[in-house]
Amino acid sequence: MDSVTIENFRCFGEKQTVRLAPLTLLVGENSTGKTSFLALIRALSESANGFSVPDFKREPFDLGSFDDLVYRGGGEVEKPSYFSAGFSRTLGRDDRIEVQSDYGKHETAPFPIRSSFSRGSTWIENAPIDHDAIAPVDRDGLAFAVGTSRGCWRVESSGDGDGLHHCIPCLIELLQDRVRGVTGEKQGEFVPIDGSSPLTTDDAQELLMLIEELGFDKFPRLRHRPVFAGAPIQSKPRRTYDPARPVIDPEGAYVPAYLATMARDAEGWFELKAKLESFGQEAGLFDEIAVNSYGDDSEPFRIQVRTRSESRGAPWSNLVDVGYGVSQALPILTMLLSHTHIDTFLFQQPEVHLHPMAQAALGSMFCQLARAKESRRQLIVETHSYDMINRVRMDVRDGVGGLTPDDVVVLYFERRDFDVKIHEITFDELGNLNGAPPSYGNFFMRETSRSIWPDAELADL
Amino acid sequence: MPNWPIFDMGVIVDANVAAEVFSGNRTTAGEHFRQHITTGNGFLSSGGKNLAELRKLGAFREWEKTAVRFERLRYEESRSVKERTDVLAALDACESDDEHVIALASVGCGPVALHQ
Repeated sequence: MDSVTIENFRCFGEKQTVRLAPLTLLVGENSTGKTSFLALIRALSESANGFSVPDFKREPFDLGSFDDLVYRGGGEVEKPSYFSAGFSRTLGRDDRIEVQSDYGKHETAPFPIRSSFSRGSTWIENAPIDHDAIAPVDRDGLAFAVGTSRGCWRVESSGDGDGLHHCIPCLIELLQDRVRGVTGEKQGEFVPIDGSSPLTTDDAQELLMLIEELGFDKFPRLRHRPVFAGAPIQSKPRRTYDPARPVIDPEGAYVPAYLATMARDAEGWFELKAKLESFGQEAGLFDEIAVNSYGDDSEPFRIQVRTRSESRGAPWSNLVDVGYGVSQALPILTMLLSHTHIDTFLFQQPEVHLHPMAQAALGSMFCQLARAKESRRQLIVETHSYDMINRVRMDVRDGVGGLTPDDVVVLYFERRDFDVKIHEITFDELGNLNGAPPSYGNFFMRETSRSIWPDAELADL
Repeated sequence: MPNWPIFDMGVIVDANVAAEVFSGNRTTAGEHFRQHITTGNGFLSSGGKNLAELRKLGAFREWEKTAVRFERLRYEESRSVKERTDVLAALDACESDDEHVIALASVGCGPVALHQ
C-alpha cells in the first residue's frame, strides 16, 4: 500500500489521505487512533485479498461493531450512517491502483455498500441501484458501473440475493464474466452512461487488465498477500515448552516451538541463530541463543541465552531468568527474520520492555528490512519510542545500507477537539524533519527547556 | 510573548546575539525569541559557520539535541552555505562581515527571516 484514505472512521472525521512508506512509524499521544489505523490497514489488506467483509474484531484488534467504528464526533452532530476507507498501490511509474469503499451497517457489522477500483482512466464501481439507500444495507439490487477513457457503462446484477454479489471479489468476478462475453449477444448488458458509445473489445480488455491486476480473476487466496499484526504485549516466557506445531499468532506464543523446529534443521537454524545473535549483541540483549531439548524431539525443551563475559565460559540462562526485554523482543525478531512470505507487518509498540539501546537497534533493523525493496516488505509500526525514531532519522541521514528518505515516513496523529489529524513527517539527508506541526514534540521541547533553563517562564501552548 | 508577524518561518540567530537567546543571561527579547522557536510556531535555521559558532554555547548544544528531532532546528547544507559565502565575500557586497549569515538565509528553502 502506498496510501490510505479514511473518512468518518473512529476518531477520524474529515476525509484524509496519508502516504505509507516501506517503513511507516505511527506516533502521537494515547487514544489518538493509531491502533485503529493499524486495524484498518489489516482490514483493507484482507478485503483486497479476497475476504468479503473486513474483520475489525479479530486478534490482536477489537474495534467493536459498526456503531463503534463509525465516527462519533461531538456535541449534537448526528453520527454518519457510513464510513469510508481505501488505499492505493503503485504498480509502476505513473501507474497505480486505487481502491475505495463505503461501509454501511448490516445488522451490527460493517458491510461494503459501495466500492470502486481504478487504474488510470479505467475503473469499476459497484453500488446500490438506489444511490440514496446507504443504510440499512440492501443486500439485493446492487449495480456495477465500469469506465475507460472512451466512456462508461452500467451493468445491473440479477439481484437474486444469493449472497455472492455482496462479496467484493465476487462482484468483480461477475463483472469479469460479462466483460468476457462482450462479443456476442451479451454486449447489450452494458448500458452506456452519459452518451457513451457501446462497449468495445478494447474497453473490455482494459477492464480485464484491471481485474487481473487486482487479482480477482483467480481464486483470491492464490494471490493473497499475507499481513501479520502483532499484539502490544508478547506472550510470557516459560521455563520449559512442549513440542508443538507452530502456528503464527499475534502474541508470538508459537515462537519457541518454531525455534525448536528450526533448530532441528542445522542449516536453517545456523542462519536464523546468527541473525538473532547479531541483533541481540547490537541491542545489548544477549550474545548467544540456544534451544536445548530434554531428550529427543518429542520431549520438552527450553530456550536459553547467554552474554559472553570477557573470560568466556559465561553461564547459560533460561529465558525466564533474564530480563523481560529478551522474551518480548524474541517473537518480533523471529517473525521479521524468518517469515519471508509475509509482505506486511503491523506492530504495536514493539519497544515494550526494551532498553533505549535496544529500541534504537530495533529501529535500525526496521530500516534495513524496509530498505530491501526486492523483498517488497512493508512495516507499519505504532510506537512511543523517540529513541527508535531518532535512530531511524539518523539512519536516513547517513544512508545506512542505502536507506533513502522515501523509504520512511512518520505519521503523527494530532488530536483536534473531536477529530484527529494525521500529519506526514519525513526525514532528509541532513537529518532534518519535514512536515511536523508545532505541536509535534512540544512535550519534549518543554522538558528540554525546563532542564536547560529552569528559571525560564514557558510559553503557554 | 509578542506576536511574531509571520509564523511557521525559519529564523537565524547570529552568533553575536546567541547569548541573549540561549545563555543564562538572556534578555527579555531573547527569552521571547527562544520560546518562539522552542514551543511556539517558529524554528531555527542554521548551518556552516553559523552553526559552528552557535555550538560554542553549551546551552545551545543541549537545546539542539532535542530541537533537531522535532523540527525546531533545521540544518542547511554547510557546503552550499560556504559556497555562497565565498561568492558574497568576492562581491564585497556586505558592509559587515556577516556574509555567512546572508548566505545561510539565501540557502534556506522556504521563507527565511533575519532577526538580530
